[in-house]
Amino acid sequence: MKTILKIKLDNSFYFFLLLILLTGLFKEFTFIFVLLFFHELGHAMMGIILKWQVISITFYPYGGKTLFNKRENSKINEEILILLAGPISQIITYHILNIFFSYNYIYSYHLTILIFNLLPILTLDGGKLVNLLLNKIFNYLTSFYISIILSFLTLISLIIFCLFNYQNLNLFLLLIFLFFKIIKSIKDIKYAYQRFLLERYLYDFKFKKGKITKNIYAFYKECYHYIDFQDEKKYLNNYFCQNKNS
Amino acid sequence: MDPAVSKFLDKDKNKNKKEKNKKKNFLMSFFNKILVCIILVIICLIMMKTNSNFKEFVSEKIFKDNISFAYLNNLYNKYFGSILPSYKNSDTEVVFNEKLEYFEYNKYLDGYKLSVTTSYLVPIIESGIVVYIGNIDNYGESVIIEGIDGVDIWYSNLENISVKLYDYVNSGDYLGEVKGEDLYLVFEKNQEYLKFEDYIKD
Repeated sequence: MKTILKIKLDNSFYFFLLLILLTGLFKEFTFIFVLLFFHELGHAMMGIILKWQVISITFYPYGGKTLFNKRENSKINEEILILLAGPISQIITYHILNIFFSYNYIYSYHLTILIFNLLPILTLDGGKLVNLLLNKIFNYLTSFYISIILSFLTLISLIIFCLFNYQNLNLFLLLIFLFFKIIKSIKDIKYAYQRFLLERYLYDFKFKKGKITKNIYAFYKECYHYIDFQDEKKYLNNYFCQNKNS
Repeated sequence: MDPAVSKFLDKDKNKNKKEKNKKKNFLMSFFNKILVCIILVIICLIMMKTNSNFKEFVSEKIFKDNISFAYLNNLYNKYFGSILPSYKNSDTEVVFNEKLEYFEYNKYLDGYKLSVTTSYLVPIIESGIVVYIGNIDNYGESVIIEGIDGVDIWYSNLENISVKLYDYVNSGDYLGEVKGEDLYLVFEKNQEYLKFEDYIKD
């Protein structure tokens, strides 16, 4: 399969570069960018190994985003592997950097990026990991809502901490950005769920587990369902055709 | 053919046209930007010819002054907090916190010559960013540190320099050893040399 990797810079990144240029933090920023770059490259490489299609990598001032052409019904374990590949490759690059350079601040930047990235906020790696682990126990929508509540709690507590104890404009802007990202993901969940159902109708997935449910909104990931004494595929066929007629 | 299908195919044709237009638009916008830059430069040149005050302003602010990284960084940190994610671990830092000690000072070229003990360990006077490391004529091996107050301090005649280019350093940190018994200091702000008495009051 042909994979074209596009690397983009977000518009906010250019403003940040101007700020770096004016304040002369060249060295510090290069180390941070190298750490972020290898973090995202870790996600992308793991995706290529597992034969996922990588669309693009976008860099923001304090992080990056690797976009995959993924299916909602992809295997949970594969997604967990891709999520963990980023932090692991970041740790490896930190240790390689530590051999050649002996600055104290590399360690502090590495640690702050890593800890922030593993917070349970849905758009960050940690939040996605929590969502995937919840997917193994609860159904698709319930686990999504639990992780949304968790990420809102952590985000609001962080914003309160930022307002009273640690005044920092850049951190505050970052938290506001994450807040709007979460709101967008709540708006998009109904489309994501429709896609989740449509994929099940269009492709043949082979799952080991089976479950009996009464509601179409209580589907589990990596599980086969029976509704109203019907096969899942037949029920979904009816569901999508009814929507078409009405 | 089904009308819906033909409509869809027409849409696809339009897409190709749009992509071609995109390339053209990119070139056009690029040239426009260059033209705007040229217009701005020409306007500046005309203004400089007609107005002598403006000419002075440009030559002073653009050609003579340099951006004070440390000053801007300090200002940003004061009002908005640190730019980069910071987490301080004080256990691993080198402990060296001293004040400058000397017997006497005399004028030497643009700056001052301080007589100190042999191979004296020089502390940094004002925190800032290292902007130059190298040899300067008549001064020897020197380090220039741009302070957070906008004053450049040259530390000259040094050995075993411990800092590197574009490092942020704090006042009182260890800079290096003096070669022999003389330490040369120069205080400079926007190409004007400051007096030693004005800068160090104690």
